Amino acid sequence: MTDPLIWICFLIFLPLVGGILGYCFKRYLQIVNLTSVGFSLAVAVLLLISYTSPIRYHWEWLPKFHLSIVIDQISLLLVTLVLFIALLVQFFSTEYMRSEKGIARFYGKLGFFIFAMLGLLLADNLLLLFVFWELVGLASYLLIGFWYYKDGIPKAARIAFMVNRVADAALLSGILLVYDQAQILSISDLNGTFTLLSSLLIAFGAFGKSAQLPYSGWLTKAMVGPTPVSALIHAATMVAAGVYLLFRVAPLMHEKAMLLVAVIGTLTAFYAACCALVQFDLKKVLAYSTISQLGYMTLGIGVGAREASLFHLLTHAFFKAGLFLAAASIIHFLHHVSKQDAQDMRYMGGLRQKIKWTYWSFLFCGLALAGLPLFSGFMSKDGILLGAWAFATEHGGWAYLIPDLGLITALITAFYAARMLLLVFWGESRTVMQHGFRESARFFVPTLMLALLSIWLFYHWNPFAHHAHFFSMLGIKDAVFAGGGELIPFLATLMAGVGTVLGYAFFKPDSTYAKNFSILPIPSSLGMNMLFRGLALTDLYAYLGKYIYRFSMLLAFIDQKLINPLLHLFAIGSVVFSKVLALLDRFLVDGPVNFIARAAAFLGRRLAGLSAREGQVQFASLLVILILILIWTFFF
Amino acid sequence: MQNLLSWIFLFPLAVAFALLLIPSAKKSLFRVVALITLGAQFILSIVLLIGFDSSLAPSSWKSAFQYVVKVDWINLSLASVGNFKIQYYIGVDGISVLLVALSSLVLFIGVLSSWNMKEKVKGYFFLYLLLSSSVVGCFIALDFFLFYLCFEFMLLPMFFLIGIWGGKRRSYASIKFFLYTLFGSLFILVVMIMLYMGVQEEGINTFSLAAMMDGNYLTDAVLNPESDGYFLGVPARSLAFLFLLVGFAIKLPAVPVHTWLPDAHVEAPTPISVVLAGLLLKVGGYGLFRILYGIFPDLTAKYSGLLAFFGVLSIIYGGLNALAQRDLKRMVAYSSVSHMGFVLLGLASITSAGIAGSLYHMISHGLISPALFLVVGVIYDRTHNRTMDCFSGLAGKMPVYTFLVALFFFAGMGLPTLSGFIGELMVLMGAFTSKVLAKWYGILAILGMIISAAYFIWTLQRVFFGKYFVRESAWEPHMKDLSPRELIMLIPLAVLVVLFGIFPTWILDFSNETIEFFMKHLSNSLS
Repeated sequence: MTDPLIWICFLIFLPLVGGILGYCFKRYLQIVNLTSVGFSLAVAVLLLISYTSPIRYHWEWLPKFHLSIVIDQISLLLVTLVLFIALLVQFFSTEYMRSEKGIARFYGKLGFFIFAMLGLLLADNLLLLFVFWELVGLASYLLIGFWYYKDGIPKAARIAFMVNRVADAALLSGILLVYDQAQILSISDLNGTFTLLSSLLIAFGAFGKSAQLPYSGWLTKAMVGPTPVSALIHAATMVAAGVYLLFRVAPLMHEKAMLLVAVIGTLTAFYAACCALVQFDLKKVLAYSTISQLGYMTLGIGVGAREASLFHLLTHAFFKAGLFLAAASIIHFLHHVSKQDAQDMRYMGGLRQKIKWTYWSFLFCGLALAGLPLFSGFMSKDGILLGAWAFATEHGGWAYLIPDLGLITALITAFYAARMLLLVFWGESRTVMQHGFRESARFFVPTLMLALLSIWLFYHWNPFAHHAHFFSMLGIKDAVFAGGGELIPFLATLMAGVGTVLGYAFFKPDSTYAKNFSILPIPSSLGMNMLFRGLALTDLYAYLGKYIYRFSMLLAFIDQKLINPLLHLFAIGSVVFSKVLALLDRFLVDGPVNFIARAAAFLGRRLAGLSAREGQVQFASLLVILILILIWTFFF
Repeated sequence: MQNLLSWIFLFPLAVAFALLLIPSAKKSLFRVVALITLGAQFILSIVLLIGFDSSLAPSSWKSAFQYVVKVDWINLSLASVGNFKIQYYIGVDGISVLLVALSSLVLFIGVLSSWNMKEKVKGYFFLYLLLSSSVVGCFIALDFFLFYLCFEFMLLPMFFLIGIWGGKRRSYASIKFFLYTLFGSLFILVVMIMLYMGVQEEGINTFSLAAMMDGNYLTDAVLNPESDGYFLGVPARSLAFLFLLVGFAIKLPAVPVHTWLPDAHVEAPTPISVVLAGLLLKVGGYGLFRILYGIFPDLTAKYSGLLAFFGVLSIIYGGLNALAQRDLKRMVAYSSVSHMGFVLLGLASITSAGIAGSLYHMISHGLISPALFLVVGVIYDRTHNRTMDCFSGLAGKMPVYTFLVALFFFAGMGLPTLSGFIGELMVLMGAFTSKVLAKWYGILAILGMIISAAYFIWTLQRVFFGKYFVRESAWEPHMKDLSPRELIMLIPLAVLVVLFGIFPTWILDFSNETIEFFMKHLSNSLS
């Protein structure tokens, strides 16, 4: 290969160009889009194979301010991952979105998303990262709102966008504080540590995209978008951006901020797993499980096991995208054969026989989610828990809560994964199905590929290996492995196993829960209801929004009824003042003038009358002369 | 070439008077003449940009300007009092050259937007051309008197354009606008006279802005930084600074002296809103650059907290007010108030990033706000209504329109790769790295970016997405996508907004040297 820069540009811009071209030439829509992403993927793989050392490019963007991108193994690995899943999703969508009116618009937005995501992964400069970060948020907004004419969807898209925007504001503040501190923003040039404030702001920016507490409500809102979009954006790629950012800046972050990252990650992982346990909507279960798994990754970075988190990001991307695509197949299937809500698990059941390829994919991915040995999820979660254990032994005391909660979450995860699997696929169907249906190969081929990638063998021959093995296989030597905690793999296996078994016992087809499931109401007890509503986070946002709106109404009132009347008062005051002046002018100033004039006229008239009527001209003349003498003597 | 600037400045004025000779009956001729005139002005200003030497590094303000024309205009010998001298002194530097180009573009688009004007066409285009000349005059005048003349003269056509062609409450709005800005100008007038008395060029009192910026004060002048003149117990220089600040803050406008703006915008016809938001507000900003910061550099640090406070107040207060509006045009008007706050904040930071950002934000807002008023005008032309509740789901009926609206909304909320982002970003970089400002000014300004996203996205959701609905069925036949004329107005703005968002140096290269010198000017007098 010649200059990699050309290839990198090619790689980044091709999906965007493909999306635009596809929009312009709708006849060749799918072909153009799939080829462009396919080419990009090929370039990414070639770059990854021929990788020797990190390359950086920078160019002057603002006066005395350079932007830079960096091509190293990590970014290339993730670029390949994004393009691979994007290609599968695009392929899947050729069937799934076939009858949609705006399919060209769909592919256009998808192309834009891929472009933005690749930019985000390759950016070395924090500001450039922020640029793509915002674009990714925009693409997500556009794709969630794809069915803009349906009720409730634009609102959900807005909530998702606004929550992200709040986080972005924190991130931008953090970045600018770093800029003030260091005068540069290239991650590879930065050294030392950020101040506590900027670290916290950056962390709270990253939490936004990765749907950590307190932002996590937006991800469940985002589920109203097309399901392939959920697979790509809200499971595999965009939501991982926050984790990726934390991964890149972790060595620079303030220690206390990292502690907070670990705590927030743990709490998010735990609460979201609990929420997933009580949902009826299949996509909501998957959304909460995504939040929970992202919590694991965040926790991993917080405790210093950042390579393990990255590995979990990788494995999770595959099995969660697989789960979402399988869910899309299920929804598509039910949409065609049943009149009921196609996403509600209460109307599912017994799908094992109906769509068996989807079942097998879902099973594999689900077991990876549950964290059972022989599947990828186990390997990566193991690494994070090991890291947490090492962190706990180092800090002692309360720090043990982190691995403990992590292990309990692992149990809950296996439990709800079993619940989902059993209620959807096993037992008898809980709805009336009309006619036969044949699974489309365009559905199960990509799903199966993702399912296969959740088997351990693709990462390392040893099913109990973890991230360090995987990364050293890739030639990334500096991946550290936190030693100690030999019990962890055993405990993790135990937890996942117990969770699965418990799940089977609870939710097996002849259990009371499964029998009554179709008529189960929304939980009414406070605790369960809060879990069902995801701790009512979205209500909290709505509440906040409402009060900000009310405050703005108040300000508008002040503007109209306070500032304006003051102005009017001023205006009216000056008019009144000028009226008063006009009166004064008329009576005080003009009055004496008129008096003199009238007096003169009166005198004149008298004199004229005297002379004309009575003929006393001499007397009149005498009077005039006397008056003149009087005036003369008075003045001189 | 030497007289290029004079052509740009005076050509519309000459045509305006020539227009009076055309019989009123030939209605369609006026718009053609106006279009050709302002088209020519636009082409000339492109020539101006091409011929502008952006690598010129000035050593004094006297040498900082290009295309300079300097001739005596009024030169009276007043015996013992001395000479009374006003010059026709014009020229551009890296700051004003951009604003001249922006003006001619916006004015040209304004004519296109006035294309379907029906009533009193002759008077309308006569006033519009007068306005064009005086706006450009403000940006190129280097004689304070000439500047003040143009600054005041803008009010006259604007007053009639709002007062005659405006909406229901037009007389209220136009009088409010006129009196409010006139009130502000009086403060400027006072300072102008004080400066004239104190500044000399070649031994004669002068209105030359260059001489004032270079600080050629008489030793006993009340405004001389070295002397300590007091007026009513306040240092005269501080008083002059505050006077100018009030005068230009009204024009900008900054909260709390902004209330003329929403009324003027709501009542003004679309093209006049375009010019008002795109250019007249920039005159206020330009005044802050050239006159407030140019002539009183030594006080900038002292009052930077004040400027930043009102900047941030405008950003947040204006944004929240925009959130509360139901009328689309009022919302856009308040968003202008919010955006102009960034100009104040950038100036207050006294960093080259912040000051360049202020300038960039003015240019970018000069493209975005006309576009926003134009897109509101599109809906108003079709329905004579612009209340948000009356519409829903327009995206299905008018996809191209919705695309452009979304683009401009996103530009307005400062989304990266669109020009609004660059201005805000540079201002924020300035505010965060400033030596004179506390960090919380910047952080609060970033809150403003959340608010702007809130009102734009919410509007997008309510008016353009959701189920298709218009309040009255009579509107139904008019709900068609953009006409070619509307596309011709909007697409150039959209292209520029995107290009300037990706390649900021295309603009910044023009002003780099001037901003550098500006910074040197500020820091020299601060140290």
